[in-house]
Amino acid sequence: MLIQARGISKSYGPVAALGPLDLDIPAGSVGLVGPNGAGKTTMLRLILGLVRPDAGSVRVLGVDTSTHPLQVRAQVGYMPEHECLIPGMTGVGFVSYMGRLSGLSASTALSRAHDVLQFVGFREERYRRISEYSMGMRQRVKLAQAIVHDPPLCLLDEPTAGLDPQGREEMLGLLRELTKRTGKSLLLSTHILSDVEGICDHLLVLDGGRTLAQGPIKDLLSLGDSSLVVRVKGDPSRFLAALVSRGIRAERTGPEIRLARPPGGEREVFEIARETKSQVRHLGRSLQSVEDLFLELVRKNGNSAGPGGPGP
Amino acid sequence: MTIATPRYALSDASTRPRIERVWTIFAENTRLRGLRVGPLLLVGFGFTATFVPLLLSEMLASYGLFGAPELSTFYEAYQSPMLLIFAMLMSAVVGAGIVADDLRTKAISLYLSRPLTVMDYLVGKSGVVAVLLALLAILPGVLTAVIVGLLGYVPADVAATAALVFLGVGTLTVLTFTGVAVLLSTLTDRKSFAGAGIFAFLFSIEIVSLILASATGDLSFEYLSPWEDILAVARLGFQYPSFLPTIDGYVALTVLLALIPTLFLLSYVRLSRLEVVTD
Repeated sequence: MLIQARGISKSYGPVAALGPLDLDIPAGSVGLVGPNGAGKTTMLRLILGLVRPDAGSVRVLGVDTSTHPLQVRAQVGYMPEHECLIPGMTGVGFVSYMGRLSGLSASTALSRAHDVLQFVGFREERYRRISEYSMGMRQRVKLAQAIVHDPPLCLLDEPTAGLDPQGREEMLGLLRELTKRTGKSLLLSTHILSDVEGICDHLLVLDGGRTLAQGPIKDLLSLGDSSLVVRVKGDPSRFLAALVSRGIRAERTGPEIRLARPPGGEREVFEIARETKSQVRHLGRSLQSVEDLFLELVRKNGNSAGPGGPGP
Repeated sequence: MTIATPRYALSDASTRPRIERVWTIFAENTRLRGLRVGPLLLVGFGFTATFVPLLLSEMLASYGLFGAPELSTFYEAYQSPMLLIFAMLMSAVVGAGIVADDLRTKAISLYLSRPLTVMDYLVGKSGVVAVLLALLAILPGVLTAVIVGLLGYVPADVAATAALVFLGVGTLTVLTFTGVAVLLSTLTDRKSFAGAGIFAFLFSIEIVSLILASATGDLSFEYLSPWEDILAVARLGFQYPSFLPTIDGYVALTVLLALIPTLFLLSYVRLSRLEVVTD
């Protein structure tokens, strides 16, 4: 396991930020999603060993973060969400500096800085001052500094935040390349659920400091095979009543009706529609995307607050 | 955009020891902050303002002017307000942004997500301020003592003692001013606030302590001012005969030895409590 947590909890004064919870995050690309205040930041802080858990322990790559935080940080690359670059430095100077702070010699750090900047698409602009960089370039420098020391695990906090659609696609392309070609593990904390879908094969959903779901995205989405979502033209209340009268578990959520898959499958749904003189406009699995899954989990958790800003 | 996989692997390189990473912080920040017009001018003017008058007075003393060439004449360096003024300016100009800039740009989150402790960061950053202050508070005195000793203006043993006293008192000066600058720099993410705070703190505490001591006739108020403590220790070290009542050098030394670790401890506690990962 890449990250293993047992019974961890963390509070800030009277506010419980996280847990208690257990986690088993395998190697690969993992999406960490949750509404604001879900505990994602605290989770990253715990993984980096910047805070000690009130109870329990976190092991990253087999190393306890509380007792050996420096050993953990040497193996982890971190790309923060917020601005964190040093404006007076050049791109290559900055990335090389970060490499040296991770323990590389000056010559190795410089050589690797050039390599990773090449990887993120920098040419001559690497010699310009960071203060002259665009938002997209800054994000790419942030990624470069996170991988300059070749860590097996990268923590990426909102890597596509503030990027235009083209920049976002480029960043996602880099992350895909990073996982596929170099075999690095990524823990991607984001609000943009489609980013997770495009890159990650494992998902961890937090809400209110608790784990709502964790596991391979395919498995989590397949849980939705047993339920359907229907949109009808006509009288949805009558259609819903007919479903319930046949013993089918169903509920109305906005313009849609969610129902447990009937014994007769989709055919039975059409029969009920015909009987109630409703027209089926949409019929499908209730969970088709990570966004569906996320919304469903948050809804079930009784939390009305959605994600801070789910993307397209 | 070019997408090419980096060629390296971690096993290519061995990880350098932690002390080297601290040195990297120090060296890179000295280059970034020290090699600029403001600090360079301050070093130039500050060094000259202390070194030249001290050297001249020692040379003239050897000819029987301004007293005999003895240890106490080296106290001249501390009688002029130049050292205090330039040390305060250097603390404010360089020290103010040493941590505050990292708080503003949030670069501190990158430092602390590396295999570094808060103490490593603090030592690396404080070293930058300390070295620049040492160019004002230690180098002129030690250099003067060495030069006048080598040229024979002052007996060699006196010159050697003077150099050692300059080193000791200068080190106390450097650590005190660095401690104040770094602490105030950790308290805000605005360099200008920190700079004004450093200047105001050091200057106002000096004025206030002197006024209180004068108004009440109780000299112990002067122990409140780090600069008065430094002067008292310097008087003790240079065996300077003061004809006016002054504070005790040993007590002043004790005050400074308590103040310096307190300043750095407070900076450490402040940085340890920062929320550094995300907003």
